[in-house]
Amino acid sequence: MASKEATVYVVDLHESMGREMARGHDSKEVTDLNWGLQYIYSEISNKILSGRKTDVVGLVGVHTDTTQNMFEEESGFEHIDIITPIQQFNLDTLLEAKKQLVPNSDNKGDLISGIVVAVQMIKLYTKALKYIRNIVVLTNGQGNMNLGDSGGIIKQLNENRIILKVMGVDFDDEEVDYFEEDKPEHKRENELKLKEFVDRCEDSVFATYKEARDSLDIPKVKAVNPVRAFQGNLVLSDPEQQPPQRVMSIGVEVFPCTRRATAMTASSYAMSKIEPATISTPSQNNLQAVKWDRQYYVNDESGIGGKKELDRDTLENGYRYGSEIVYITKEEEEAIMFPTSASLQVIGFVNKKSVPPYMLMGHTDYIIGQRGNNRDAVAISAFARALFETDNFGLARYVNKDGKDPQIVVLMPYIRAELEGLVFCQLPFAEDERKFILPSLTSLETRSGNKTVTTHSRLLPTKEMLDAMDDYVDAMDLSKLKGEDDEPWLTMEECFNPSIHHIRNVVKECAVSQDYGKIPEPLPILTRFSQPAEELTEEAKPQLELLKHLFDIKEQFREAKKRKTEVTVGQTGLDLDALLEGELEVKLESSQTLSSNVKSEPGRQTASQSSQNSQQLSLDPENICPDFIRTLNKIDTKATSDEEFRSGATNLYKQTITLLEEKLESSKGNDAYNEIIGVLQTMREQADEMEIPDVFTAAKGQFVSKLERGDLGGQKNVLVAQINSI
Amino acid sequence: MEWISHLENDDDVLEIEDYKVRKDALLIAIQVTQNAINNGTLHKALEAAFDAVTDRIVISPQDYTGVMLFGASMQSEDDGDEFDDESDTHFILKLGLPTAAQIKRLKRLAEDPDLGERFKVQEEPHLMDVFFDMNRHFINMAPNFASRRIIYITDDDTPTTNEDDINKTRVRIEDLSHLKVKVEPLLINPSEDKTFDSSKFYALVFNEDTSVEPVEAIDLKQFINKRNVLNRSLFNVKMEIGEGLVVGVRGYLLYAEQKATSTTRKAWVYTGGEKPEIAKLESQAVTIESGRSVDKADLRKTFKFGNDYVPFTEEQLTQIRYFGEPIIRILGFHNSSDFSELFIHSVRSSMFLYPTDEKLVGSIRAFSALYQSLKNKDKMALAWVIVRKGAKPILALLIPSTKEIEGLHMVFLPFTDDIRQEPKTELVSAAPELVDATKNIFTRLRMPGGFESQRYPNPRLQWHYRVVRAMALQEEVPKVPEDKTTPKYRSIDTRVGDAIEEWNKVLQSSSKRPAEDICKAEKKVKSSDAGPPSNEQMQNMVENDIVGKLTVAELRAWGAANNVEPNGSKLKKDWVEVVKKYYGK
Repeated sequence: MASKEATVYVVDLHESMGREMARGHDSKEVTDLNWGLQYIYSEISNKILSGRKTDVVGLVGVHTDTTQNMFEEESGFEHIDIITPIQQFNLDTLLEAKKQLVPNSDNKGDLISGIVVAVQMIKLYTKALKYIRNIVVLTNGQGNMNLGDSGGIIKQLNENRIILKVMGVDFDDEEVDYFEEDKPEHKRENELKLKEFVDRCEDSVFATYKEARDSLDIPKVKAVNPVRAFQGNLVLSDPEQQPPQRVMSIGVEVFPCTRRATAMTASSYAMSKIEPATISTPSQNNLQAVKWDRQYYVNDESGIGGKKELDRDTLENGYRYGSEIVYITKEEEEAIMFPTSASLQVIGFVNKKSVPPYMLMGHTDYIIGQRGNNRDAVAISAFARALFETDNFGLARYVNKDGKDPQIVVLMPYIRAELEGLVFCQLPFAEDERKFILPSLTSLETRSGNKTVTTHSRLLPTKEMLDAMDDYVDAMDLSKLKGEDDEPWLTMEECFNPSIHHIRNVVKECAVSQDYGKIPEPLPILTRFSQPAEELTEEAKPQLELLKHLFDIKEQFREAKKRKTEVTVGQTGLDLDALLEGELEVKLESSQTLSSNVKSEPGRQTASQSSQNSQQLSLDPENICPDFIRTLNKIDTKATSDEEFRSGATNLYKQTITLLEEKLESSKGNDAYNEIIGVLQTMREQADEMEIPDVFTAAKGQFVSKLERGDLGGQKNVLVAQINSI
Repeated sequence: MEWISHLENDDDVLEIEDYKVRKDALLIAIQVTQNAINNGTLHKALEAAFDAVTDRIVISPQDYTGVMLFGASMQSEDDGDEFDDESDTHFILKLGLPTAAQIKRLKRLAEDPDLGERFKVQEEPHLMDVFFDMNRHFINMAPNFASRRIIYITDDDTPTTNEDDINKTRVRIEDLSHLKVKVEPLLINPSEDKTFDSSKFYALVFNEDTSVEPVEAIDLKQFINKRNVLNRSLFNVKMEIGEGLVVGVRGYLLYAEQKATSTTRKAWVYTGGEKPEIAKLESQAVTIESGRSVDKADLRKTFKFGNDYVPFTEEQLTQIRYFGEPIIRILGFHNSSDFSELFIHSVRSSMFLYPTDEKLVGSIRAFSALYQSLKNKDKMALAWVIVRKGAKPILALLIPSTKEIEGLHMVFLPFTDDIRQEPKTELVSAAPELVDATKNIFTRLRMPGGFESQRYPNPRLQWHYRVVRAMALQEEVPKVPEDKTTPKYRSIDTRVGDAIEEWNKVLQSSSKRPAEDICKAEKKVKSSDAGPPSNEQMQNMVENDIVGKLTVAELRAWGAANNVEPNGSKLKKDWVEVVKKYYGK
């Protein structure tokens, strides 16, 4: 549980805060105040985004023209405004406050009194309750500071356990060797006085504003409090059957180790009815939050709208089995229950090499010994060390809670300076691991399976290529990027989820600036690992050039594609067309002559021999797809020019459509729809491959318009819709 | 599809291709020969087909399966004397989601002791007609399936010697390939001393991509399992090996959790009608304020800042989420040993990459070279990954495979945002004697074969399907679920019972008395932010009647860990009540 927190920002609104300076990456001119407020706005925005009612904020302005505070009657408290009393902020509160956070012209007032006002605000708000109390001061040190009663104020701060943080704009910083040029004498004095003041507080930070501002360029990772996921015993052997001394039983607690953090998600809202739908820019006023109502129903012609609405409570739990629905009444549910009780039971041990990282099924959890019990902590440490020293992992059966499904998990040692324990992760069950057969990448088998080919012009790399790749892999070795401190180039701590932090930053910045026209770029650190390091690519340039030259990868061109369709069966990915090149022509010929009289059964239309003359095409109406592909390939092979091919293909497409029309007319209901769609899909794919998509579109158009006119036996809207989706 | 749930949330823009349901239609075609009837091959084939059908219902509930017999006329089931000799093919199961009646019919066949009585084997089956029937069957029953396959089982190596018939059959098989139906022959040796001679017929009718190597006995189940759908790739993306060197790869999911309760398996059923019917679900957007229902066209999406919507347009939202075009970009290479942390910080299941020449010719060759280089050098590649349009970027390691299939495993790295802090506890290191005693146990329980997922069927899923199948097919429900994940206790005690006894002794002498720790821990309870109090602490607090000092959050967390919570209201007093009850007070 996050603690309650109250923060008061004390902002110096002295006229000099309006001084413009070039700052930031792009060296844009920005006033001291606006530059300084970036940090404060960012912090307040984070609080708004967290939505926590117990994270409250107040704002105090110093050197203001007006005076509005609880001590306004007393002298020394003039020109201090409580801009916003302590409260939970929202966007409106922030925008309202923003209006008043501008440099004032009346340069009276005292920054230290501003701090006193802030202390009083916090005291009144938090009373004696448990709170984290913060005062954050933003100043450029130019205005008046009266440190006459500093002792009393420090006492107040310490007694109330207030954390004081002072951010000074252009304050000198010895650590980074920064000294402001032409610093006015009174600013120098103020800096020193302020530093001395802050140092005397118990809980305090004295920082230059630049430090604070720089921290904004590094995303803040949301800390999640650990919540125990399991508590019980890690057990080896059977406590029910064996005497306790023959059972290893260690009291443990389980906590999350990794969980995928998620980015802010967009939520739905309704555009107001009054607003014309054409306006795509939503504005604050015309938006209405929506929720989703769920309604179960079955089709019922007698019901309203052909539906019968159902109450969830009247429905039974059902499971599909093939096309059957097996339902299980609430009473029968006992029968399907798989009884389990929360447990963590060791099955055995395996060499850690037999559990490669790609087998892990998701997030991981820590196992530590039962806290407060030294025996368990010692035992878990021994467990971890024994695994580590024997290069083993443990296998265990894990049931998180009574009745939950069992998992197989792998137990891995986790031995760190601060903790010795285990980490576990789910492993696949038999059903979870899919077996594939994919052709080898290193050798090709011939069809009879008894010969292996190890050289192939298109599919297998040559020795030269392999050597070149080896050189490239060496040249691009990331270990070269290790710094002097042996830090690797990529460390987990610097790997921020780009989506999470960018979306968050954009929402914050746009909301505060109220400028939605300009989406800020992602912080450089977020895209740092989107490209290889330049040092490395520079060095590996010659090796890469050689690779590019050797592999000569080209966009797919028509010839290759066409051949592939002809030869490959299914989708094995690898085709052996080059091995077959010699045979291709012969085979095409033979299938052409054969395609006609294949089906011996009487009654089926016997396709006439498809002649070499593409003007007299003939496809078997029972076998349109294959015959179509064959004929198209034939036309392509025979054609001596693009024009000739186009005209032949156009003719074929037209005739195929005619065939489909006949098919449709002679069929009942929607019997032929599937086949027609299938053929059209093939026609479309072939047209794309042969680069004649317009031929297909024209043929399809002809078909659709006939359908729409009702020429082919009445309304065929469903079919038209299906065709149009091809 | 299972994997749709693996996609990131609804914000991700998917390409049209991703919406297509990629389903698999598998037809198992078995030739009935006298030899197969006599030596039991047919029997085995039918049993395997039955297993395949029921397994596929469990593993991929949306896929179609069919079973077809050919090469013999078949006795009709209703009238024992009638033989139906008109047709070449008998579809025991038409391609589709199997019905209980069909499954039962197949089961009866598979269990029939007198298969010889059921069939009259044809002298010379018309194979070209058989293949043509299958062609028509796919067109009618399984159009628009991304994957269409036939597993073709026979032990007859010479169905015909007529050259004309051979050629005709070859064309019919080619037809199937034009229809994108892949035929996988399973050619079985007719007997132990007679080899199936592919050169007589099958090498002539199948094209060169199809393996016609005969197998000895049949392990159909293994054959079918191994030939799971090939082309069910998740995505097709470019992989940049270096700037200007780009190859095409497809991504597959090799490991995906199967759950009994996934939506492809579970449904709400309305039983008030004539027969049970799956209730459909409709959701309607309504405004929270007025309850007015909202048209889809009037719905917009955007982010919220606190309670306020920030008015981004669709295009801006896309721009905010855009980190570049889909790519797997290699950033460099590492020794495998550099990433030992990978195990500890796993965040999600891996994927598998395999090259394709579809769009970029030469991809396979270049990928092969990279694969071989990484494997020989024992290295991995680090990559920046955007798998599809609009997907969130993520970093991954590409690890060369070592098992049966060749390709690269893509293992995702965690972001620092995904890593939780270590739980706070006292730091303790075990003494070497205890570590040795522990090692003594572990080495005796080491499984020589390592971890093999095939040894552990998911007991919950198996049980679920056993019950559902029994209900669907009116079989008897087994009493006790089988659970291969339960430790083998007897063997454990035999092997390490004594070693554990020794371990307990060493542990007792090397750990401190727990009493002082409990006092220490109790103090920690109040200031502890590392989670709920332990049971031991809680019991102490109950005895001292100070449970009320805990916060509701701590009580809730304790409840979650112990599976208890108050019925009805959940105020602190209710929690305290529950805790006291838990400890019997």
